[in-house]
Amino acid sequence: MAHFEHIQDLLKPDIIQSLRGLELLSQQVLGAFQSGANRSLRLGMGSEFRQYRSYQAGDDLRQLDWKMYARSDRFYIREAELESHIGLRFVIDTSTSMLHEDDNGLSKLDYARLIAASLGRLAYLNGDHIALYGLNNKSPQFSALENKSGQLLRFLQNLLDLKAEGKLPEYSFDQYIPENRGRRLMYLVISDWYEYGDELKDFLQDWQSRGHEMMVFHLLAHNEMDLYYPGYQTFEDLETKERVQLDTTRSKKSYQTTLKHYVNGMKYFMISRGISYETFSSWVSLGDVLATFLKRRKKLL
Amino acid sequence: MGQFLTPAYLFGLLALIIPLTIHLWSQNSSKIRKIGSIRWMQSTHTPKAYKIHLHELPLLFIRCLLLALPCFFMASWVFNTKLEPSSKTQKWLLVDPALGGERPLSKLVLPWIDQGYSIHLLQHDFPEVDIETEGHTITLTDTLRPLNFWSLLKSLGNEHSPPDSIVILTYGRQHNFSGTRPQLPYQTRWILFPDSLSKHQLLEVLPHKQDSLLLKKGVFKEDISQVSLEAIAKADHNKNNTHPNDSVYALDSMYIKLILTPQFKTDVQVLKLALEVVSEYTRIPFSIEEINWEDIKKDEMLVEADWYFILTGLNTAKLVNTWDGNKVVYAPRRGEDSWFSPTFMNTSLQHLLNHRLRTDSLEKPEMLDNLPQELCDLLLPKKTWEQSAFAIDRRRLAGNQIIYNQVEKQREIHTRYRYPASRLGWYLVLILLAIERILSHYIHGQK
Repeated sequence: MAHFEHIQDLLKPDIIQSLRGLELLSQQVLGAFQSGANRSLRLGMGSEFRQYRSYQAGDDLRQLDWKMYARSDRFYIREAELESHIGLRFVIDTSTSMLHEDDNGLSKLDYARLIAASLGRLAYLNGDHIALYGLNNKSPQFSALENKSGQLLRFLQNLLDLKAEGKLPEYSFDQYIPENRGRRLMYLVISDWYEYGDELKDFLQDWQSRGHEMMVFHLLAHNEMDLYYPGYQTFEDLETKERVQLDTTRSKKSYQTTLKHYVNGMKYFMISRGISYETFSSWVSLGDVLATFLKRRKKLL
Repeated sequence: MGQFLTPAYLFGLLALIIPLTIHLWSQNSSKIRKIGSIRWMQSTHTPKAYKIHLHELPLLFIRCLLLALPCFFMASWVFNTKLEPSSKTQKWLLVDPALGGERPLSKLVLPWIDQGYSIHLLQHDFPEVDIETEGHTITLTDTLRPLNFWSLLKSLGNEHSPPDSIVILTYGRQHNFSGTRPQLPYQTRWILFPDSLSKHQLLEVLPHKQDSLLLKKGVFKEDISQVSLEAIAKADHNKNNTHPNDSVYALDSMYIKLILTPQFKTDVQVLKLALEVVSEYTRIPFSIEEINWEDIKKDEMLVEADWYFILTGLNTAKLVNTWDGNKVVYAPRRGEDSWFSPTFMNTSLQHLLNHRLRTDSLEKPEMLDNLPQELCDLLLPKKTWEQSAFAIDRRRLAGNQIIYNQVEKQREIHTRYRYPASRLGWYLVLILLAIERILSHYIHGQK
């Protein structure tokens, strides 16, 4: 069972928004998730040399290192880390609405960073190829990383460089997310799902039809779900700057019902199309997110 | 319903604009919550808050109450606990005879006649005045002789069936209020006409500390009254020769009764002469009356005099105690240096006249020359005090009693009305303040 309670203290904007902090957090999240499990490298044929070991009966002769035999007159098996062919693409919604802050002062973008950092580290350790897309109509970002040492830090730095502005692109995402033809990829979309049309849904359906594995993490803030603002309040939309005054006491029930219907509708839409869908509301959900991720990744192996 | 005795404080209600403005302003300037999207809020179809926030109305009400209640209390908000007087109630307007001599009476009393008051003179037997037949003036019969209003009003309660409501118009001069103020068995309202209306009226002079006096000054304008206190130093005040009377007063005339038995007739003549000298010297008219001790019935109450000189040689202590006014008992003793010595007799302060008044029997006849000066010191307040107090302190009152139009009115209200502005009222304000804080925290605390 994953124990994430101690991570809660680390969930602070200034920690998440620093490289060292984000690295530490991703380590902690993975540590908590994999507590008790001894990770062992998958060794076998690969380009990345790992070690020599003595030959044992039954070993594949193709792995015998003949040059070592010539030098030492003994049989050695050359082992390398197994290379994964899984490509993981993080598609993070970087529209302005992701700046919505929860009660603890963390924005949805911070949570997206944390999820991406944790999963990115996990993927990196598993030898996956990872790439990052920051998706908005003003300053879309892209960075692809090879699975080499030092690249994880670069990935985390790219996460930190994500800047929320504008809104989601209204039309096809093709120009923002170049397709890697001939390779089956896993796309992980982290968004608050405030789309103006069905642009995100269309993207999911479109790319799924191209044979890619699609996963969705829907970010919902606590205060957004509970509408925990007592009395009359003026709310401003982060993207449109529209304002509405609301008696939250009276509207709360109706609001929550509407939101619940929407989330249920989303869930139905995703599941009916074989897309993984998880709502992520706080650090407590991190375990579910990682478990879902690993489950889906396994399908690609 | 209630009424306000000092309605000037009601201007404080203007402060209600503050919470009202805050509440109205807060509709537009409430803190803005930035959230990801308002799409779910727009579709909830709840009423928008562009008018009064109904759930904040209790808070607004309490805040207004917090400002209004102290204003009401300071404006002396009172409730009449008695039933409104019916048409059959007896209402008297007592007019100081002295008032009629200087101004047309009709101008003074007509407003009261319209309210159903019958007009009576404030003198013995309270004769009713018919304005129609008197032709707007009053024939004054006994104005030269000073009256003690306290005694008169006391007798009104004892001898007559007192009216339901009494309003008294008077100058309120010193000599009319001799002795301590009695507990009257009915309600009175005093309307005083100052001799000369000045901005700052000296109401009362009281001993303050050992070497200073406290002057109570008042400003009177129709219904508005304010009282201020000012301390002045007692100049030339000899501490060892403190005036026997605690309350300082000034006089515009003095009524003295000499009560004697025949054996002291000569002594009285000396005393009378000395008093006349004092009167001449101070230019204060003295009305001196001789009364034979035998003529006084034991159960009779002597009234109206400012001073009683008792020259009987008898033990009159018990009887004397029932009289209002200052008393000097003739009790010559040998070897006594001072002319007068204050003494308590049955808790009543009296003065003993220690020297004989007969020239033939005096050990030191020249001492008699000092008598007018000694009398002057006894009867009259110190000159330095007098100058300040003379102008307006026309009544001699016990303690801090002030009878002036508004002040008196308020004092009477105390007994007649129930004050909501009691300590409980202020507790109510504190409780409201606590409720306001809790409500405010509940409504706004989490903003």
